[in-house]
Amino acid sequence: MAAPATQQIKIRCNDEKEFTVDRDVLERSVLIKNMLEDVTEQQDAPIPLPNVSGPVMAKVLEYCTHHRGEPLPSADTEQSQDETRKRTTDISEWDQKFITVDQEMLFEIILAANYLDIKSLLDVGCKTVANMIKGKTPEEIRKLFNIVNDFTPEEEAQIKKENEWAEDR
Amino acid sequence: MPGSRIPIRSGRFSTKIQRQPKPLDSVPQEKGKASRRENLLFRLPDELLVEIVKEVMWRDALRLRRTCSRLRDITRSLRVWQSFARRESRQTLWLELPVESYNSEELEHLILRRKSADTRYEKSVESLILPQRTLPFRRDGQYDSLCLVPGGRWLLFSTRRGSVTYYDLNSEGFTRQELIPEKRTKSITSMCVDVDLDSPTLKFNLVLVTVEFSGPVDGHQALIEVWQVDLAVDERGKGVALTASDGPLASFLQEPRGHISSMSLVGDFFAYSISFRPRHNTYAFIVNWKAVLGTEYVKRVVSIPDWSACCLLDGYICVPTDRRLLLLPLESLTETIAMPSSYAQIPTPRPIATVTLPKSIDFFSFSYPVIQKDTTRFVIAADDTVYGIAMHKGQEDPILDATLLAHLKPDVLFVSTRISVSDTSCLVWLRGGEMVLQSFGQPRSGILNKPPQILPPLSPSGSYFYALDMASGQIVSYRSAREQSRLIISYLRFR
Repeated sequence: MAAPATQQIKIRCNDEKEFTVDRDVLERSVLIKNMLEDVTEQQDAPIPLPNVSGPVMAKVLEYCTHHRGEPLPSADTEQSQDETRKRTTDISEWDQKFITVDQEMLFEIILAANYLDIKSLLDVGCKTVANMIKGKTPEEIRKLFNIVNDFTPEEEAQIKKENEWAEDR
Repeated sequence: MPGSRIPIRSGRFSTKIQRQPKPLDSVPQEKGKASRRENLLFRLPDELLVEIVKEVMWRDALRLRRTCSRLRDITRSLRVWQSFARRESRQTLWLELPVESYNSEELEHLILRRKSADTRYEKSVESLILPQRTLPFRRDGQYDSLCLVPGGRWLLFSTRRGSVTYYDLNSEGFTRQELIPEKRTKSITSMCVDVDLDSPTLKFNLVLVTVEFSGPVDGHQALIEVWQVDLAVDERGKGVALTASDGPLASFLQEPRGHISSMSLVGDFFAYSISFRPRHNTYAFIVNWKAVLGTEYVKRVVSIPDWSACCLLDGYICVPTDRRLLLLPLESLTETIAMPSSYAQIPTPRPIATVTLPKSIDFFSFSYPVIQKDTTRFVIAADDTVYGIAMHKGQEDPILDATLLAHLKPDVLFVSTRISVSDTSCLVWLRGGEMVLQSFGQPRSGILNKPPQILPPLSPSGSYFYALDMASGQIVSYRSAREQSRLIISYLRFR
């Protein structure tokens, strides 16, 4: 069914917050795109998105609106995905500004992008977390994410011994 | 019922995440003490943690490994190491099988041994002893040359009977396998290898140049053979042996006669240089070995300085002339069948690119070229100096670029230099017994941040035969002694 470009779709988040959005913006989400393709007749009831909250969805929609009209990545094999990623390791300026949020929101966006299946947003999120990790010592990483060191002193000494050679400082 | 009309599918990564919708008041405005203590990263399922770790550098992954047990396990996952392996260019790790054929431990080992060899350079090598492994070695006939197939697993020996044997350096039992059967002649056999970069499984061409010992060198006429060698794979998909083609792909007599002083094999082309007496005029000959029939075959020829080498690249040849290196397209060279009787100077065609070096380079050894995207790198050793040469190919004509990599004590002559090159560094063994490890520095900068690292002397000193491989950080030396011959493998690594 060819939908008119201006078709509006209603979604409802887990906090009852509702959004009415252009169909092509929502279709950045492969999950919603597939849902809409499965529905043949026009329905007024909002699509429930039980895994996403309103504030997070607002951010996700901001991303989808900015990137509307861009070609969707095809469902690739792992290998070609890795190769694509190798070519495009940088985050664009707009995306970088967009993803400058607190950790809570960052991880919520990653979870929402995964659930909604928006590959490019998931990539931006994962790369952002990766950039936060790069160059930090184990102790700095623990501090950054409040990671509890659950190694026994013996385990920690052992794992340090095994990996210490890689330190360049 | 709105909630049931549409099936809720799982997301991109299919783990079922059992998350209760959170009450509105905890998201996301609440950023007080509670969230500062909470590990927000661990809200993500393992699959997403893997996606994040895939994006960091290998060194960061090892640091993550030291933080806690969950991240330790994540950094061991196959997808992380597959991603790291795919990030490297083909000639960095020189994997002999497709990435998917390895498990995570294997990939981690292959990547980290390579990174470890580079790290060796980053740190001071003073007072370090290279770990070594000594292998008993049955002396069986005379060995002429040895060669490590890039990747460092397969060690090839050519013998004076014209055969090639090999050893699997990964195997526990160190046994000799025959690759190419012997000939009846007693001869000197040298070889070089050209790996097929398009083949997902290790495959290479091996050129054997066999010269009978008889008469003056001017009268030497080598038998040149090109063999195809493949990795034999068992039913579990693991590489287990090397196998040679039933016969050579090409076999022809060297033309013209004379002593071959350098050779290189790249793709369809084989290049060799010969110096002729009495004036030692030296020429480089380039043959399309796939098209050779009989002895009157077409070769391209160019004059080069006395006793110089020529480096064959993809579609080009790089030759020295005084202080310059010239890049000549193969098709611009004079085609000939017979050599002119006067051995006249053959005019050099107009080079497509040149680079001027600080001093004259009338003698050099060179490495196999390493190709990375549009840049081909190789290393040449001339007199007491090592240069890294890069050929940048873009839309326009190629550009040549030289970087001084090492400058050594002046009396060392690079008569039988061995060079192994990776995308980031090179290892050069000098006849004087010194081994130099050098990083390329930034392309086109021409400036190096660090002086070259002179490695500690290897034992046994005075070994004559060496083979180097940067991918595995291995240096193989072969000591032939009456009582006992030994193979010593030194590892340029920390692990």
